[in-house]
Amino acid sequence: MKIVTYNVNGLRQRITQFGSLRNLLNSFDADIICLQETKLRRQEVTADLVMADGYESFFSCTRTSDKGRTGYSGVATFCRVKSAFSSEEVALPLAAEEGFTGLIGNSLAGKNELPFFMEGLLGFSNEELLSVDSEGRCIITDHGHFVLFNLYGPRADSDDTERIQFKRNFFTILQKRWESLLYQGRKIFVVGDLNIAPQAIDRCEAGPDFENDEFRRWFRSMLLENGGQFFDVFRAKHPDRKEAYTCWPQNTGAEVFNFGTRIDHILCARSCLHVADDLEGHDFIRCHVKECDILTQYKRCKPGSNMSAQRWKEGRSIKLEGSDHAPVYVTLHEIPNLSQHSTPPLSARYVPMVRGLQQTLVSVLTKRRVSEQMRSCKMSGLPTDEDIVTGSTCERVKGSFDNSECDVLSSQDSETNLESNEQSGSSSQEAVPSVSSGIEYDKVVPGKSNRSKKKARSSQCSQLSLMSFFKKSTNVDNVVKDSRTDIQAESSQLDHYSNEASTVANQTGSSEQYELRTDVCEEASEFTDDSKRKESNNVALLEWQRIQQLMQNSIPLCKGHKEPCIARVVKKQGPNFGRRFYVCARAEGPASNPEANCGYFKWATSKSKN
Amino acid sequence: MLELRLVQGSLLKKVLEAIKELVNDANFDCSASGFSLQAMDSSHVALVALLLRSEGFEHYRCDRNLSMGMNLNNMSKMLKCAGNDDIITIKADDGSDTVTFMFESPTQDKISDFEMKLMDIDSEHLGIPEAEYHAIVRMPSAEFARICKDLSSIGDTVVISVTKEGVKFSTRGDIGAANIVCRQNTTVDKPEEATVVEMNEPVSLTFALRYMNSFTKATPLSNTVTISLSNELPVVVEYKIAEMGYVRFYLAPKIEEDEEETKPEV
Repeated sequence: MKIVTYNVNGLRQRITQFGSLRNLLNSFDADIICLQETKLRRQEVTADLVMADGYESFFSCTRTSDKGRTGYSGVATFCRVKSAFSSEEVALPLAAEEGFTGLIGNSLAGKNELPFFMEGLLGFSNEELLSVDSEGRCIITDHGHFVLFNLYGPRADSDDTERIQFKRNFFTILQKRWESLLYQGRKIFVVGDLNIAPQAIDRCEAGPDFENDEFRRWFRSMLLENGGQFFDVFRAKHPDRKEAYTCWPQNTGAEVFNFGTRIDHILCARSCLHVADDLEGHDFIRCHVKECDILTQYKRCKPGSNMSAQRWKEGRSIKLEGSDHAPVYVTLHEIPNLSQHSTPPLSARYVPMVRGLQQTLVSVLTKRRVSEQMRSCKMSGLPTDEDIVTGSTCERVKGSFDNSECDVLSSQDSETNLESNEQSGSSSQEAVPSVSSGIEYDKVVPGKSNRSKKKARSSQCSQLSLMSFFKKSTNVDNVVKDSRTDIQAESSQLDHYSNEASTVANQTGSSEQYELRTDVCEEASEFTDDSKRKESNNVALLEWQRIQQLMQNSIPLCKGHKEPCIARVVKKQGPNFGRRFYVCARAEGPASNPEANCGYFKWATSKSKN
Repeated sequence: MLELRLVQGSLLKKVLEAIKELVNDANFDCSASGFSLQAMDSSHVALVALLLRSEGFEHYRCDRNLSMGMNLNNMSKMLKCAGNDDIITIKADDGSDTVTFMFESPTQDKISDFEMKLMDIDSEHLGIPEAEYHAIVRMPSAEFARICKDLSSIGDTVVISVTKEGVKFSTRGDIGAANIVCRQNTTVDKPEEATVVEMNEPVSLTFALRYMNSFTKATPLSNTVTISLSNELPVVVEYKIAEMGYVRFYLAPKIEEDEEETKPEV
């Protein structure tokens, strides 16, 4: 059994990247897939966003529109099942619940649990309880052997007291719920983007106070080694692995130097599923966890790719597709089947807004075609694929309107032949989508669509600096060219000088340059028979060259690499709002690496007079 | 002492809308001949030059040359408070830290004063040379804006090629390619609807659409736009301001670069 957690940073975008939701889900080859930050608006949820053949899905969207947050947050859990009804699969939940306070409805908390749980929440008002559940941050699915929390933990800026309080409430109430479940003897899995890096090892260049943060302390207090109830599964499997991160801020180019944090976690409660008298030496990790790791191949920037620090330049020169997070997975073994059960009412298939998956004509026809092909292959020996397609299209279209029963029968027929071994167990009362699409099941290579894009864009352009532009076009005539090279040597000296000198000196310096150049130009033209027009154009050319030099020189160079900075504007409200400044153009990385952002900062010279 | 009275105040509003996206803050230079500005965008790739000649103002008093640093966003905020048919007067005292914008409604029954803090901005004046261009295209400004907008939904860059027949704008992107050809067309009812191509030599140059789209923010200033191209020079995109002057944008072309894209192969 494999469980994956992935902060998708916009489900729509990932679906576009992979071509379809099913391709995205299949790429993990996992039984339970928990996605965070789907950023779907409740009223925009359609079947193609939350339903995929072969998966049962449960989703939660934000319910508030505070601060204009509509397409924000949101989690979804996808369970790969052969059948959603009367199934014994562990991946198919027995019950599912949105939020964890039990107040939103469709609560799975039984009569026994809720009162006990509510007792611990006496300090909270109803509004506070509702508010932690109103942002689409949690889906709980009960898989019998364990209860799975798919969580998206709130992020709070260090100076946003209101949000910090929210975050505090969120985790306090969550903890109560966990305690209540554990008290009942349930096992718990917690997966998701918690927005907490528990230890210094989980964060690039953690400061000395890093571990003192209240939420990091809370997180660690949940762990077994500190008297809590949970394993941090990744850490338990890889206690010493450094630089294992799952999230890299996009705006600083942190991916280039793997300058990230580990905030996507898989936690599990201690005890294993074994029933024996002597459970000495048993625990969940030892008994059931095979592997747990980060799927770095989903990173936008992979090690060894040619995205160097120099080329990053605020991400402008390159376009990267993908989330700013990487998925984390865990594989389990020795998880026995459950007794027969059916999908819980929270399933997306019962949500009125998305119920009734509208099939397209093409998908209907393709499905039939595949089954037809299989049948006729068997019957007629070796016809080519094309023959079948053309031969059977009319027949199929006709049949699809008046003889659907027959069609279903025939398609089932052929499929049972195909994968008779696999399917013998699953009852096909309902034509569950996963059944009918068995043939298309080959693992889709994600990024396939990317490859074609890559080609289309292979001839990219880079913004030409005026300097290089002029250097290239020095073929006006030889004399001018020769004399210009001299001047260029001189002028670069001058430049060097003027860089160090004050602005005034710079100005005089460059005007000297200009005079020199025009002189040479005039001289040069004496040797040639060219018209006045050409002469004036040469002047313009040289003049532009000077302008470009001035423009370039007026961008400050960063301390670390002597490279031109990039300009930014203060976006944060405050006394400096709207002010322009320059920073090193390179991607952020560890301070020890001289190739990384050198931290250079300089205000643009403009400032308010008063 | 500076006092510039502009009856058609909406002009100044449009000028600000035209350049504030490209330029953050800039020095406005006032001399006896006119009110002008020259500034670079933050990446120092594009240049803007604005000129409003003194003759275009109803009243123009500038005792001595004065350079006023302004944050264009703040200036635009203030000018947005002026009505479209208001008369705008710009006033500043010598050595003052502020500039005053006075708005008078056409009926003179409402007069507003907005005072804005000035800024210290280091900038060098670049003497932009006059030059002869290989090709000059004049076309309806709205048409040009539409082309840039349309192409930017497909690609990042535009190739502008001028031949005798006309001017071609083309782009290429993930989803496909686009070509738009505008033929020379002078047989129109209104002269501003004409597309005129003057060509000495054919040219074909590539530009970043990001900048072109910023330039087209000046479209409301003029019905026509003039694009001057030369293989050796930056392109000039000029919007004339009726009887007063111009806004000109300068941009260096991009060069083709065959480079493998860095794409994750998940």
